[in-house]
Amino acid sequence: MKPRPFDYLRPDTVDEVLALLAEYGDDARILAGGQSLVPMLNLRLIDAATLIDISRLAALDVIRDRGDTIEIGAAVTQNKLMAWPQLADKLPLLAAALPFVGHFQTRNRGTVCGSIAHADPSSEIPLALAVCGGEVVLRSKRGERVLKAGEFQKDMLTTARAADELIAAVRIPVARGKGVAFREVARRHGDFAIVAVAAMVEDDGAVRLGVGGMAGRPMVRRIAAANAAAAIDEWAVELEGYEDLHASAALRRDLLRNLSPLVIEEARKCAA
Amino acid sequence: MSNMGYLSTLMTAAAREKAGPKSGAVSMATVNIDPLGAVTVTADVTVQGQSHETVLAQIVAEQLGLKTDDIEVVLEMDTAKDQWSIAAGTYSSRFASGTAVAAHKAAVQMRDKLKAIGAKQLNVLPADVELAGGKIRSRSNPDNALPFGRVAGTSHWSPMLLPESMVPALSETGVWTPQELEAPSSDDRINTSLTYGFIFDMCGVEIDPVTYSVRVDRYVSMHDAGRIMNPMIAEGQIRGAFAQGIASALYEEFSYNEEGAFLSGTFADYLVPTVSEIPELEILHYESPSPLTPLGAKGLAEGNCMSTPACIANAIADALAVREVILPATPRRIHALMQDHKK
Repeated sequence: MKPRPFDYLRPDTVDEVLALLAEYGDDARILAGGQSLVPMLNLRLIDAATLIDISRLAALDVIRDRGDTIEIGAAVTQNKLMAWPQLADKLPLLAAALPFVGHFQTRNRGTVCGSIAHADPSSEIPLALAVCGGEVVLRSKRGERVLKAGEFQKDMLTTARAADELIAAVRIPVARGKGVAFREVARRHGDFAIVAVAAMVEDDGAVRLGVGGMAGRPMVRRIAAANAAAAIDEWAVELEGYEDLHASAALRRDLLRNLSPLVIEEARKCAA
Repeated sequence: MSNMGYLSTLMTAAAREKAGPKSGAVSMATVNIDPLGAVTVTADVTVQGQSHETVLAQIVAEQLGLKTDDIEVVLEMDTAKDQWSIAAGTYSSRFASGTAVAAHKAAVQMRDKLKAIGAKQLNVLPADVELAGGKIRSRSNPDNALPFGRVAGTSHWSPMLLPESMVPALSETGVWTPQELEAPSSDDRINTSLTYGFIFDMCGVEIDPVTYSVRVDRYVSMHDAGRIMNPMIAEGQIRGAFAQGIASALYEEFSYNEEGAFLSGTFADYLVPTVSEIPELEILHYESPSPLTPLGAKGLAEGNCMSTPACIANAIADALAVREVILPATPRRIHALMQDHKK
């Protein structure tokens, strides 16, 4: 299928992007890598009168080491982040999760912030961001605000971004030396995960466990070392899961129960 | 090569009697040679990627003493001007046991004709003539030889030099109709095909209790397709059919909800396996030539589309100790089967 006609704008500066967003609001969509947006336009699942292309803005194509956090600009592709030499050292959970994001070819264009903006409930990058306790930097003509991952993603494909705001970057806390692990179950490699589970070991020995594909957004819970299995089971029942073509809610709950102990064990080993 | 008579089993025996019996099948192929000796082959099939061109070229080249590359195969079929019968087309593995045989017959007819023309020019008996290495030559004195194209040109340019009573045109149509394909009996019994290929599959699968996915650890497929005309094409056909079999066993599905709405309308939901999802396949052949076709081939293409889903379903049923497995065996279905199993 082909998309409905739309206007295509490619501003030269971030300020121009913000001016256009202020002007067009809901009628405009930001185009970065287009790996989710363009198929959705083609399938006419969404409509956009205007696309604002930010993919060539050098100011947004930057990975910046801020000391405690790493800031990843809106035009940084998933493969660019994967190829960043310090990734495994400073953002080990992202290093573990990125190979599961689509395919090599889609990662060449797909951006880190684009995944965050798209907010698919089974998507790997929003899950990793949530487990790491990352932040989303939103900019508009009105100014800048920074939201915690948990405040930013509200529900399935729904975020706290206002119509005139640009996701300028995400900031992810440096997790050097922390034990992490990531696993997912998908029908084929690169497909949307049915359930994805990520873990990060905290300093006190508990684990921050995150799951995608169980609710409208990634969910995170602290799981203490003692009675972990019971806590995970309780969490699975609480989250309930949901039904779609590829999985029943019961399957999702069991995948969470099955994957979590493996991911926690892997994360602990990796910390040791 | 299917027996066209099976179509008439839709009618009662009395109705068949009245309409006249239907039986058998015809395959046709034609070999043409132009004044410079260029060989073209046409046949009553429409190819969809089965490499029929290659096999037809091999068959004809072998009889005419030429290289496979020397033969041009043209398979655009036009019923208004080309050779065809009601059985024409590509289906039921009828190429190897049908059309290939017709091409072989046409090539043999053409070979014999060229031998007779060459014999006269070489001053030898036709029995002493052979076609080899692009030449038409005396078997007993290979130095007594003419280029293939020169002999071919004779028929076009100098029909007077042809042996007496020979029809000049270098166009030979081979027609093949096996006698074994009889009409349905009065009690509706019929042998529906001239040849039957055989296939035996064995596989071992693992069901991952964490992810509820099926992993094929080893898959062996043994084929008796009679004489194999081209091993590489045979392997390609088997691997392609196997991939389709894996697709129906584990991935591809037209899904509908209770209201009848179609759910798998995009390739994000209708999952076509890629090469990464296809397990390793071990292929074995048991080559028992068919006594009913001159070339001994039985056909093999569609085997694994049918055998692989059944083989994988049987292995899953065995692994989970259940009687019934609905395909494709998705994690969702495996999970449900394992829940039933726990009870």
